Amino acid sequence: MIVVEGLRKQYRSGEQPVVDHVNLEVKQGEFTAIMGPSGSGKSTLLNLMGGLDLPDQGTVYVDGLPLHTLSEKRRTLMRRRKIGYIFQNYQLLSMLNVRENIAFPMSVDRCPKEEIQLRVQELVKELGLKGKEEAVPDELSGGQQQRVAIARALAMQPKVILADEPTGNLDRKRSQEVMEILLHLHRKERMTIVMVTHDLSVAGYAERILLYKDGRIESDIRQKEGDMPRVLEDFLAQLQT
Amino acid sequence: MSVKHAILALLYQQNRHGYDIKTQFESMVHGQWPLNAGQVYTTLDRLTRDGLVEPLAEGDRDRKEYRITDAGKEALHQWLLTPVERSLLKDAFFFKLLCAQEIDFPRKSEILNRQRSSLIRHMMQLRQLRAGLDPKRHKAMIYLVEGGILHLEADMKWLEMLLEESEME
Ligand SMILES: Nc1ncnc2c1ncn2[C@@H]1O[C@H](COP(=O)(O)OP(=O)(O)OP(=O)(O)O)[C@@H](O)[C@H]1O
Ligand SMILES: [Mg+2]
Repeated sequence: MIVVEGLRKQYRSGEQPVVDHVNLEVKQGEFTAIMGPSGSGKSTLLNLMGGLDLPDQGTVYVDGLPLHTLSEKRRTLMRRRKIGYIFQNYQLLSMLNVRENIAFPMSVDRCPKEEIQLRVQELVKELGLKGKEEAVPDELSGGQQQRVAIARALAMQPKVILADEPTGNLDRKRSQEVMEILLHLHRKERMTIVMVTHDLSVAGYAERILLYKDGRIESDIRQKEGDMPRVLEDFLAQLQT
Repeated sequence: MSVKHAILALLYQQNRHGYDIKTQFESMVHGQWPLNAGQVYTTLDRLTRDGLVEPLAEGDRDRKEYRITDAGKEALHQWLLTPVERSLLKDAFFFKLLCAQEIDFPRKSEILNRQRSSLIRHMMQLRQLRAGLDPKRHKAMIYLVEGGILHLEADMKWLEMLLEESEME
């Protein structure tokens, strides 16, 4: 679904590139987390993968299309239709209410009014935002704002969700709620998700974790199937001592 | 030892036969900790000797029902109220590092990196396990898994600290 080839990005010449010839393939339906030290370039990599930023070298293919060689106009369309973004600070429009925020990408894309209305209704219900449709972001808790942001990201029925520290501003319980939504999307709708996080327990929801450091993928760890009972044994062994 | 206290807890609920204790215990730990009948009977004998339980009648050990005594209830309460200490030095991974230090093992950062990968896998397993648990039916198991997740998080932070130090060396 996403193929990253020889991607490189350097903000200042002479310095170590923040993305240093990265190659990566993310399959359709895969849920991947990226972890790594602060300042290592995780957000830069994610932004490049979503076409929010331009690389010095290399290409990103999303659903087969080379993101960085498309014209500006086609890239914008592609971003809007195929990729849903979620950020740590939600990035909602403060003047618009919940309904309008969720509808925003569809309105920009000139979708028919009735279609927008139906989709927004559906998402409000799915994300537990019923009764909050008329509220503006300031009137919502952090967890609720992030759910609005997720609804907005899903409005155009994207192929991929890119999330940068989606739980970074939330407490444990709210983080768990947000992660359960993403997990549900992944499991029930086979959504392809790439998420940056500092938090191991949040990354643990993914089935693949990339450790990113100094502009490179240091390790690529996948969940192994079938060794679940051993985990339980370990805990029970601890109980015995 | 926990088997002893698990048996006291099961008898605290109601009088039981040895076999009943075995099956109840196994359902309490979701079948993940099999208990053989011999272990149940030797523990019951020891508890009887210490006056913490008593058989309700003499005879065939399979048929014999047991009851908890007042001393047994008191012992159970005391055990429940006693905080559990964790021994730092008994941490298996720390012990490994200590030995590596001792022999000046040249691949120390590899030890740390491998441990980190293992922690990460472990976290993914726990998350998967957690996602399959039902809040109504598996409440105790959820506590256990959530506790495990928090421990892993702390272990990861500790490991990252060690990795940072080892990089500076
Ligand atoms: N627009 C920019 N212009 C110049 N330098 C930048 C820009 N964006 C990021 N950087 C620098 O690039 C490096 C990587 O930044 P990036 O935000 O990708 O890191 P990160 O891994 O996401 O960090 P964090 O975990 O703190 O969010 C940092 O040193 C940062 O200062
Ligand atoms: Mg970042």
